[in-house]
Amino acid sequence: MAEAAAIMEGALVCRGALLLGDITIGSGSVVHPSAVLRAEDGPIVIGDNTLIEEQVEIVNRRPANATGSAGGVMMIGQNNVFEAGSRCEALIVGDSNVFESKSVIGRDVTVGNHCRVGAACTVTANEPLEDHTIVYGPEAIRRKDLSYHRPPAYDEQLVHLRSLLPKFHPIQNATSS
Amino acid sequence: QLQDYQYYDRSDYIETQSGNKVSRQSVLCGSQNIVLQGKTIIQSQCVIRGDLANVRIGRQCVISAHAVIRPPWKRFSNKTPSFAFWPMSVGDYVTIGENSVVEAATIGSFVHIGKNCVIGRRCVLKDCCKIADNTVLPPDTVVPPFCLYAGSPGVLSEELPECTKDLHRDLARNYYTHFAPST
Repeated sequence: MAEAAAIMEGALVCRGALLLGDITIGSGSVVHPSAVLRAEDGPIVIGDNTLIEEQVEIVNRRPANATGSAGGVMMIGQNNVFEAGSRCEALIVGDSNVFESKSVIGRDVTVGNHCRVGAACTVTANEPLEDHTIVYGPEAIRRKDLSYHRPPAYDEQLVHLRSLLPKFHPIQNATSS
Repeated sequence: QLQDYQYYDRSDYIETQSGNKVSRQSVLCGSQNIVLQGKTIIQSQCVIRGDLANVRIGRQCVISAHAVIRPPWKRFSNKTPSFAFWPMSVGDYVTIGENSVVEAATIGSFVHIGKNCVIGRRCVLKDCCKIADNTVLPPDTVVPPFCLYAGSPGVLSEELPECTKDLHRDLARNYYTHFAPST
């Protein structure tokens, strides 16, 4: 836990967010206050232009009965969106995924690209979420929609937030360029 | 209807002149844009995002622990800048349960929102409606008055009696009177 978070130039991390352990945040990403990132059993690397809203939990933690050594790196790709209250423990997350409010992604899930996990859906089995998978409904049904791509509104939101948030929040300084 | 007294530590809550009780552990962002009309309880670990847009909360509301109140956003296709957060207004006597995420545009008065709900972007909740626990309302849902919405996605499951207004008002009032300092 001694190592501080590495925040790339152009990323915006509010002071109200909790970053514990070895965490790297890519440039252009926005982390809202009261988001929690815990790198307990290995580092967390978050790609560029990722939006992490409030009360999101991104945790790299082995289950209590796990064998083998710690240190698995959690890799989260670019352009992902974690909406308010979602929770992610997956070690591998691709690019341009949207995790809606209160969705839960377990550690054994491998998330591809352009996936969307609906609000309050839970995916915890040992399975890959292939590209363009949409998870929805109370039973977390999977559906593939190859025409689905992440809406461009999130890019505009990131631009908006990057100019808006510094007016209201103390910002954690970038540590490297 | 009447709950037991719920005691809180006086040092954990700030009480304003108009009777608002705001937990010190809550996260009120952009507090200059948040209006609380009075006698509203905001419990610990709540997040209210006044920094994104104005948030107006009426009288005698209860925002339970870990709830997130954030103004909705909308993208316009023909305007520049095409992205904006919208102000959010919450009426009087509204109770919002624990762990709920609320991104509604408007919430009327006498509304009850259960625990673990997700109220999608730009939803409109009319007066005297109720959202059951664990409901997920998709974006742009309009909940009519005197309706109980439940499920995922939230659909009309029941109609509420005409006394709903009094029930929800009493619920909010009772909560306030039973939310007392421990000393």
